[in-house]
Amino acid sequence: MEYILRISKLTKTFGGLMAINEVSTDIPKQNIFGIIGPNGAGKTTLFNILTGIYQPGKGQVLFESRDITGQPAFQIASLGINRTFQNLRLFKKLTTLENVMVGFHTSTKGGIWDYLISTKRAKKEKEESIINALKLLNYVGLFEKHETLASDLPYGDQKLLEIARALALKPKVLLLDEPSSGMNSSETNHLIKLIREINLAGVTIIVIEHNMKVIMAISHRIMVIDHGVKIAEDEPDSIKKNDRVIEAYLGRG
Amino acid sequence: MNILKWVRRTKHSYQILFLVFLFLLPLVTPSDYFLRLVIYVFLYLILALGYNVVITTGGQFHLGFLAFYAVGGYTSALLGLHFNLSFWITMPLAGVMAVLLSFLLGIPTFRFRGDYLCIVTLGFAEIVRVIVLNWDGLTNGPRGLPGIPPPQIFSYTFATNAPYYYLILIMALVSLAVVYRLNSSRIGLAWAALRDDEVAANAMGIPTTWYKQTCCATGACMVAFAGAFFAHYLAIISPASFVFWETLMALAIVLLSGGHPLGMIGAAIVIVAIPESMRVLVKFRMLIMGLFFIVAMLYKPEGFVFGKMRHFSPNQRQLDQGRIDIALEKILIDPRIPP
Repeated sequence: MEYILRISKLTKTFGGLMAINEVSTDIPKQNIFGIIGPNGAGKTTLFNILTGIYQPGKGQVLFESRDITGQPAFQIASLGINRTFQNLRLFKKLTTLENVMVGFHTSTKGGIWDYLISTKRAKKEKEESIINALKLLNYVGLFEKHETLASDLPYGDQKLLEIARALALKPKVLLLDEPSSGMNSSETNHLIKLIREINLAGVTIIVIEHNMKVIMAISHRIMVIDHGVKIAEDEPDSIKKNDRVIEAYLGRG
Repeated sequence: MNILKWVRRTKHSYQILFLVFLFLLPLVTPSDYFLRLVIYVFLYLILALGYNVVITTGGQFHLGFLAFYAVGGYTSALLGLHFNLSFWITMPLAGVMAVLLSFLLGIPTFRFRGDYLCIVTLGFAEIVRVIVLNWDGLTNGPRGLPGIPPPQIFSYTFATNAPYYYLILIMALVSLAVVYRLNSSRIGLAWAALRDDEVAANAMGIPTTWYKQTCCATGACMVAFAGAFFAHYLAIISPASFVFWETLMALAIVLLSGGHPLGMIGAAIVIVAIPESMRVLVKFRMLIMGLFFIVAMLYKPEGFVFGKMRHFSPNQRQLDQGRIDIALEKILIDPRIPP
């Protein structure tokens, strides 16, 4: 099997707290890889390390057999590892359209002078970015709201906008941090369909989720973390029966 | 009647008429004093536009711009005095100097955010002022540098207010154009993104520190050009011109306009004209300005006239092209890597 991300013995401490303790795993290409675990298990910390927001204390991350450990976030983002945030980090004073257009930053190259004298390149870039951003909005179902400020969108739409914005970066690996939280059941169904489609389009997806129905339905493999330690990794059906997982979630009987 | 018809038919006719009016102003001006005031309006407009790039667009509460104003003025003045260089060369060099200084200053200061950045940069402006005041050998200290040569075009030397007026008018128009162009560019959008959420901007592939630097440098360059103009216009430059009050004036224009460049023209007129017309109250101007800041912040933080300026809004053709359903694979295909 071909692995797109190989994580080995990743460790991160905050003061005396072990947020992530020697977590290793390999993520197969074009899979949907689920990560679950009780609150405070270190799932989001793992995402933050993978995307370069935190520097790991120890360990190594290989992306397409290239060492990306400790690289700055903007560089990792431009390589094709892109994410959404658990607590929504949209650009609040920008419109929906502009939010998506920020995602084209790495794939456009016009410099200050191009835009100052409005060269052909700048015009072409601008035109393409606007149209492509509209297409992406159309795809996630936010086309009619392209002029709305991100902060004025309903919660479910904001989550979709985060996904659209991440898609604008043309991700190879897409990290979704609790995409279904705060969504009602019809929004959740739309989301499941969307995640599957993105995956079928060739994107590897890593998803943190608390909604077991969602994660069991979409994941090819699931990793369980508890107190920063990986306690299981398997296919969804086996995870459901795993004793250590049940113990972590429900306690010892 | 023909003019009325033309006004109705032509796109942007009001803007064109306003421009024509501005270019004819020196011919119809009631007094030299009036023209002088208009020159100050444009000068403060450029200052405010420079501040605005950093404060409103980039969201960095940088209060050190007075330093770039001073550095621009002194660089241009010293080069003109000692090397006999023409204003047309010293002004760009003043810009270069301010950009270099802004990058240098950015290395330590852009580790700070918000209030901390504000205090550190304010301190920097003060340091520059004190250096200028005390470096007697270079700047002639508090006595200032008199006799700065006026700009020349071929054999024509700027002597009255009118040529200076045209110069600052063109500088202001160019600054406005720069602000507009950058605003709807990927760079302006990146600045706005890092203002709204630095972590997310970083995760979108924007190197945030570098973009803070370019944002600040752009503003610094504009302010330095204004400083160079100021020095050559007055023909004397002294530390007394670079007190915190100047920062407040520019900030007030930004506040009043809410960051909209067109609103800034109106705001500059109000801010320059009011203290001028209230010379009697000159002792209270700090008090009045303070009161104004509090009221503006509390009740109209988005400015008084215009709303926010959008970076991009699609036209009908772009909307039609974007509405088409398309397979996700096509959107996601990476142009960076050939298949």
